[in-house]
Amino acid sequence: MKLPAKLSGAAIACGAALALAGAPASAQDKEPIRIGVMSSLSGAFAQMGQDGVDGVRMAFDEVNNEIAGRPVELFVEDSAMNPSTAVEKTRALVNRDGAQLVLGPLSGAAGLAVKNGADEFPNATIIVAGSAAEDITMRGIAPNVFRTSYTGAQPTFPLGNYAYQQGYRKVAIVAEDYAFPYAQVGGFMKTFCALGGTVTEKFWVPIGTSDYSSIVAQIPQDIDALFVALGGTDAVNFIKQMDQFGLLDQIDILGGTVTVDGTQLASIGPLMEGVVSGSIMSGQLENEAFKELDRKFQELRGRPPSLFVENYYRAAKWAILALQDIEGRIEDQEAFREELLQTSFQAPGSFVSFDKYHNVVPDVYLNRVQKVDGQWRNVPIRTYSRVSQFWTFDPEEYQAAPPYDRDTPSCPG
Amino acid sequence: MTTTPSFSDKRAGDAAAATDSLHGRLRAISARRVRRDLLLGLLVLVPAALYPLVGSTFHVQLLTSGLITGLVAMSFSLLAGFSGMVSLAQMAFYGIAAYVVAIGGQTYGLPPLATVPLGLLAACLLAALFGLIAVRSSGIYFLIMTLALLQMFFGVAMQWQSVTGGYNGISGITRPELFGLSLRDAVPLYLLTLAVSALAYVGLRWLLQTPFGLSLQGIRDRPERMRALGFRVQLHRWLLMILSGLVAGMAGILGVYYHGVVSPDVAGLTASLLPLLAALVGGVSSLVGGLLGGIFITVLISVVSAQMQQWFNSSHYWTVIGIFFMAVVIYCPNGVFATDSRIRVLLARALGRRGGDDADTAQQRR
Repeated sequence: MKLPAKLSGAAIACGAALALAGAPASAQDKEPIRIGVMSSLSGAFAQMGQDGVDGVRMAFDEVNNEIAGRPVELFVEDSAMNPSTAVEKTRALVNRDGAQLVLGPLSGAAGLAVKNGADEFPNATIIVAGSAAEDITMRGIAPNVFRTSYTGAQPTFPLGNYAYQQGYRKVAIVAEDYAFPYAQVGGFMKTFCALGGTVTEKFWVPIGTSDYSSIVAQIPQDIDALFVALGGTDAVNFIKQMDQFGLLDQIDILGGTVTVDGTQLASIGPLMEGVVSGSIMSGQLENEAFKELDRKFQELRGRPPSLFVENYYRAAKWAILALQDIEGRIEDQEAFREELLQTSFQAPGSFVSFDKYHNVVPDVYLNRVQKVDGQWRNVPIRTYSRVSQFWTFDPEEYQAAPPYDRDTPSCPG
Repeated sequence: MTTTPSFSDKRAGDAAAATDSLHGRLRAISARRVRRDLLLGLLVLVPAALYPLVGSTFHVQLLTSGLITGLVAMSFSLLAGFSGMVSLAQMAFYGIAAYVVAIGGQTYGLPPLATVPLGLLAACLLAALFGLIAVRSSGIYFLIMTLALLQMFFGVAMQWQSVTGGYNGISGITRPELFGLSLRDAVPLYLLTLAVSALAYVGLRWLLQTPFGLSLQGIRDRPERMRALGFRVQLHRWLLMILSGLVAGMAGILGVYYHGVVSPDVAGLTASLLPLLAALVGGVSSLVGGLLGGIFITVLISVVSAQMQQWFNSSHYWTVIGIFFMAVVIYCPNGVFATDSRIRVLLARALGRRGGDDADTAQQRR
């Protein structure tokens, strides 16, 4: 089993080498553009991390791995959800592989560590393609760090707004106990509480909890809705147990950005029917870029593209567009960063541009789980266009407020 | 050369038991060796210190990382190889020193002259505390106990949000200057790490030859007998645990300056297994093995993870590394540098006489 796999791998490598050797001379003469890709490729987030790498490869395949006549070389590394590893891998990509552009990392803590250490890499630009930690583009920014994904609170501001408009006044929250859900809950509460809603109870659970019975039993009876900011299998387990307790039909459920994605819908789609969640992606969009990505990714992996495919694809596409505009002169980092900040385009998720804090301004969708052609999908019911990381709040005031944690913000009634 | 002072298990136990006459012999032997070891040390240290002149920034950083892992591995070997305590808690000592330096510097703005001693002190205190609990058990129970303590440390680092920064940890650590050179730069930090590693190694080496060090090996091999002879077995174990905490703490401070970030992941399972694997590769019963193993495994992971991507577009590099470690355990159970290592035997065979000589020298060194 092992040997043929290796042989075929070697054959592919040889084939690739031959293909490179036969590439047109014009691209060969020129110095390649070296680009590093950092994603979480081992551990619990390996699948999502691989989705990200697929997204980057798809974007570069579209331009035949060539920008302004210069060939593109990709170097992929695993940042393993670990901030220390992410710093080491950035060094490997920049100092060893000579990358002048790094796409990634995926996890919040890793992104924050790379941003806070980014002055170590004055000759490289880092485009954070997955990490949602607010302070990457807030409370002090780095000249060489950009974020094309979203902040944790960005997709849930509108959800709080929507919840109040739906007539919900009392909401309870179940979320994982770390920085990303803090921000998701924070964004929701910031808008929901400002309108006059109250959050009566917050349940923080450790990542990877499998038994939620004690939580489910404690959910207050008088709430109008439950906001569930859990990801991956945590969301699946929780919803299943809600159903077993017979509570699923009695309480309306609101979902966080990673609570309702393709994999969860594939396993418990019927239970999630009607759940409304806030995201910068959707399962069904009308623009051409989305349809193209959807078709290509279905061909590649046989399932619809996830949020992470789109996020990494978008980061790569953004860089490609900016580089094309400056004729591929990535060595001129000043010009590249300037161009990047000016670039705006139609990404598969939505039309995107940067704010002056180097953070993306995307559309946010509120998606409802519905059955479309026999398949459970996230269908957009509302679109909030051009959502800033500060929502409609004043950026200065927003940044002066303390970062989100278990108790901040709070609005007990 | 039949009498080996520190490493061969039964003899050391007997040595401590038979006391004075053997001590005298050991001293004589070690005196003869000091000069040769010094020479050998310089032969390694001088090229290592000059390496940044020829090596790239990345390779210097990789070596720094390897030495830091190696220091933790050495603190592990100190416990496992010389007193039979297989501890999984070393990264907790590393972690607390790193956290104290980070919190002291970032949150309270203390100068490194204050945070570094505080960090080392914290590592010693935590080791003393863990030791109070753990030295009561031995063997597999000790291992499980230290694993539980490691998990507790992880939990506190994760949950005590207001102090530790929780999941995100503390990043953007400002590095101090040493002789006008910023430790943020690769070369000064490498030289400091090299110096600390060398000092720690020499210090531990010296300590293990003292009566205290020899009694530890006695305790490892025949705890009941040592107890009967009047040695305070648990006290000795406890002191050694504190010492290993100190060494791991040194690594933690170098580590936080190296990475510029500390998060609960330092005490996560992957991070905690790395030094253990390093010690395994280098041979648990030798101190220098830990350092070499640390460098070896750091380079191995770096190369395999990059090449798996370049050649196969695959991220399954841990599988390859896992297979490698299985091979190590099967073919070189005492480390790849050990005399019974199959790699060495094969090398020796391939190189003929010269290889054989090398093996002899190494045996003498050990």
